Amino acid sequence: MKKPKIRELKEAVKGIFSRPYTTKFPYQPHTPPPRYRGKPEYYEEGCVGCGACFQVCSANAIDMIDNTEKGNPIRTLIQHPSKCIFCRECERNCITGEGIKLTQRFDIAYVDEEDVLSSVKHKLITCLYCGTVIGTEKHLRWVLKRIGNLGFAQPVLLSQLMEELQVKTEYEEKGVPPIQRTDMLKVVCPKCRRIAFISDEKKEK
Amino acid sequence: MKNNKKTVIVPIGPYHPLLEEPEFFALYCDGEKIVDVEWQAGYNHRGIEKLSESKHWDQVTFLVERICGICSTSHPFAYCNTIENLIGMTIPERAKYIRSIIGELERIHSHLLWMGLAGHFLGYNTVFMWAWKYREPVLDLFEIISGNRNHYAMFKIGGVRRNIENEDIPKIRKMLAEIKGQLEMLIGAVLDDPVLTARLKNVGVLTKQDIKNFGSVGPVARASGVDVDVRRDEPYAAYPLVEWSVITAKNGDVLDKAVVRLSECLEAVKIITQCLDAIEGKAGEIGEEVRRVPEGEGIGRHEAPRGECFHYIRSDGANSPVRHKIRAPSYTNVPTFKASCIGQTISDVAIILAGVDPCYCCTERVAVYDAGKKKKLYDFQHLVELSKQKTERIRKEI
Repeated sequence: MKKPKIRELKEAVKGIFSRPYTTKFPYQPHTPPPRYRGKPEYYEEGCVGCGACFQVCSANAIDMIDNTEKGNPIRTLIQHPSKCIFCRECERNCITGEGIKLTQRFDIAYVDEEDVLSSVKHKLITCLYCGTVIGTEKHLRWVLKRIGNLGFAQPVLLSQLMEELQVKTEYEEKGVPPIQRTDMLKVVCPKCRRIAFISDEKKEK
Repeated sequence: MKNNKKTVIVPIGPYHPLLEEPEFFALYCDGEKIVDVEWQAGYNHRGIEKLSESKHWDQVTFLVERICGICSTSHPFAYCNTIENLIGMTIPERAKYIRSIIGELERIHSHLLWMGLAGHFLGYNTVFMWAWKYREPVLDLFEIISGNRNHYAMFKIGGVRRNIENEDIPKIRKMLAEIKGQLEMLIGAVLDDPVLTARLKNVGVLTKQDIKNFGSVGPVARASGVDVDVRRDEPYAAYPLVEWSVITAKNGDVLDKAVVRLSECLEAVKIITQCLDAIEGKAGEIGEEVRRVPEGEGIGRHEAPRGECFHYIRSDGANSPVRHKIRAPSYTNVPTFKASCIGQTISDVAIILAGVDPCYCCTERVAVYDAGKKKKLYDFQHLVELSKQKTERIRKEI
């Protein structure tokens, strides 16, 4: 009977003289450990807007909105920390590895959601005829850089390359139906390119 | 039972003041004694199995992690075992050790949480405060290793997502030694305490036969002398590679459950130390890339802190499971109150119900609603009554 009492008394005395177990958080900053998984954030320089993060997100915390209204088609990627489960899959699957990263930030309670949202905007390339989204400009140029000379084989990539080299071409002109075989080298989606190829064949016959 | 005028029904729940989870217990009492107990569940049904069919293989790991907040790694553990069983693959050695470390750390924190709650239920808040204070370094350790105090997101099909860096191991070892000292102190203080012993001894006894009747698993079964442990019976991860023993007790009362759980904490520390020894200073792969899950069926088991956690998956070779069946340990453990509560006093019921360490949100896989005007939950008795009523109706018509 005696021994347990002494042991517990020791612990109790230790408890009296040691400082409180809680931290003084709001008054003193808290530094999470280096591996802490905090709020994910987009980085404008690294992100190419491919949408891989949107596809792998298991909590649907990332929205990808393609605004293809005439004039200036734009893709917006928005990360909602309130839905996020901090699994780090977006960072792991990012094709550039620098587009979205988890930060050390943990205080994501908000009054206005705009304060915590992280978003990035990219210019979209759309089909000249049907308006289908082909990809973001930055993504296509990133692909072009990776595949090098092979890019010459793909009309969309070729047009990007020419734009980058500031070679003024007629391809930039807006296409008007009917689609002709020469339109194959314009910025068109695979479906329209197929139509261009087939319809012209018929004409020749 | 209901016809007996002497019995009084004492309702507990659906929002249980003690267990912080919605479930409903009806205690049929004759004076102070419990004559019968009824249980209604289904308040917490979230449709996880159905959701799982709409997620990719990799995403399901995060989904099943959220079945339970306390044993949040046991479901991914069982799920990954299932997929690896389906594919027929083995994982790299380092991943095996890391998996075991995470599983055992979780066991320590879950059992300490239970001990604290048990103390709280008995009105012994010092135990509650101490147990939860010593649980805190375990959670800190999780934050260092995985980046989060809970929901560690460490598991993936074919290995683990994050490595335990060799530089971190001395720090982990130091923290673990501290935790071990504190655990020994707490275990001594709890088990030698005359008040706790008097309060828990011979309360809510489950005999060996009861355990076999209900098919209970985990510490509940081991406290009654039934020697079952998936880690030993069907080895997986690093458990066959390290030395450890299965803790059992004889009486099957709540005190024995506490003894088994607390001794398991020390056993877990032993396993973690050996795993750290095995991976320290070595380099190695932590996971294999799994590109495709073939057609077929698989089962996986894991000894969660509460008992055996079981997953079944059928795949048709596509991106997501066709069928995902989950059986959490509480599914077999909770119904034992039929054997343990009857004959006890009302004041003991709280600790007996808590003694099996129930996790209702883990268990709930189905909820039945009346589509008509009266919306209510059905249990087995209701269904039997409905069936009888229909027979009566048909009999009259004929």
